[in-house]
Amino acid sequence: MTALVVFTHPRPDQFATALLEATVEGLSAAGHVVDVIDLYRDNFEAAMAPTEWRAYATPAATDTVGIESYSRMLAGADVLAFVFPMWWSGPPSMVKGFFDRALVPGVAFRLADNGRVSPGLRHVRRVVVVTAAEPPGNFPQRSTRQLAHALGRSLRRATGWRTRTLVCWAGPGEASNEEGRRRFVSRTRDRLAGL
Amino acid sequence: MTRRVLVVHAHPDPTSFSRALFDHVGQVCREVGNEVRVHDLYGAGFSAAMSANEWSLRGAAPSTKPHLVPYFEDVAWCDTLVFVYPTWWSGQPAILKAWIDRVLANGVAWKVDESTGHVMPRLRNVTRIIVVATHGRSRGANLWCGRVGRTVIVRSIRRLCSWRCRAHWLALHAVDRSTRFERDRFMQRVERVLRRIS
Repeated sequence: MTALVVFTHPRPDQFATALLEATVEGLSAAGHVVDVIDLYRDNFEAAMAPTEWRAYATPAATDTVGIESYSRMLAGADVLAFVFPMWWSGPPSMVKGFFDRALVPGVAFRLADNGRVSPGLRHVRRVVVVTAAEPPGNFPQRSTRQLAHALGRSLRRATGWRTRTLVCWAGPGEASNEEGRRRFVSRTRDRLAGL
Repeated sequence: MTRRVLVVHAHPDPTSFSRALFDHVGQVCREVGNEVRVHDLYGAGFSAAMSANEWSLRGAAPSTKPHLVPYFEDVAWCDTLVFVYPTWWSGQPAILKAWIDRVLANGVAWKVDESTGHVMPRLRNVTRIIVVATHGRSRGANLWCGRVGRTVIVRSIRRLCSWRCRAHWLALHAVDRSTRFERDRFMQRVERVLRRIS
């Protein structure tokens, strides 16, 4: 059983690091071998290049330099976890770039000649989203939370219908004080250990 | 009324339909006498990730990020924001999300009120938002996925604009299967909206 954790933070502070550790510990406790991708440490380029765009619907889509190792890790994952801060009610551009560039046809799904899409990551049983709202936050929180779920929904195109999504989400009330953050970190660890 | 229009565009391919829409938007806006500024993110080589340095300056004044100041000025100048982009994975392309993350920063798009801790809008100058989005998937599929792209713009960004700001959502679904006729019709629809608001 393998879990792949995609971590994003431009400068991991104590809270971000603690969340990553809790995710890794939780998933290990559940019996997974955990791989971690740190997009900022890898200097991942988030913007899809014009050449990649032109190659998108062709077999050359998987040839992108710098993506091979991600494709390999994705191919063996049973659990796919994303750990990121919530910016503008969604994942940061880095995570979006991972979707755009790493989850390409041939890796995440297959494009048939008639335009039909079939999932390529059926082995992923669970999608996990661990995220905390960036305070300040009197933003519409309900839609923010829905968007964390939306990530799992759009991923079903790659994982198939039976994959379920687990969202560990800290609202601004919780993420803005020490006590709330500690509680959220330990709750995340416990929930993931139960997977 | 002459409008001040800022067009933000993100598509890697200069021969794409999204690019054609972007060119058409600029052309129509100039024709009707609007002032137009454009942020062609791929053309400008915009960085698609917030750097660690920018992150640590997130509470500081906008002038501490001199490389972004021209973008900040355009955002403060415009009264109409137009986004032209393809929808990927039910949201904006990464480079456009980066524009939202980096340019709509503290002190530019919002400011925290010290006493209440609430977010105070700073985009009061924006009275219209127009989104011209192409989707690979059908309308139903996009709806089921939660319309991520729409929520970010129509809920989160509009909230920081003028209280009477209207958002026009112009979407062409299933663009990969679309016919020439449908694309032309969509382009005319975009043009109609642009002419109507001017």
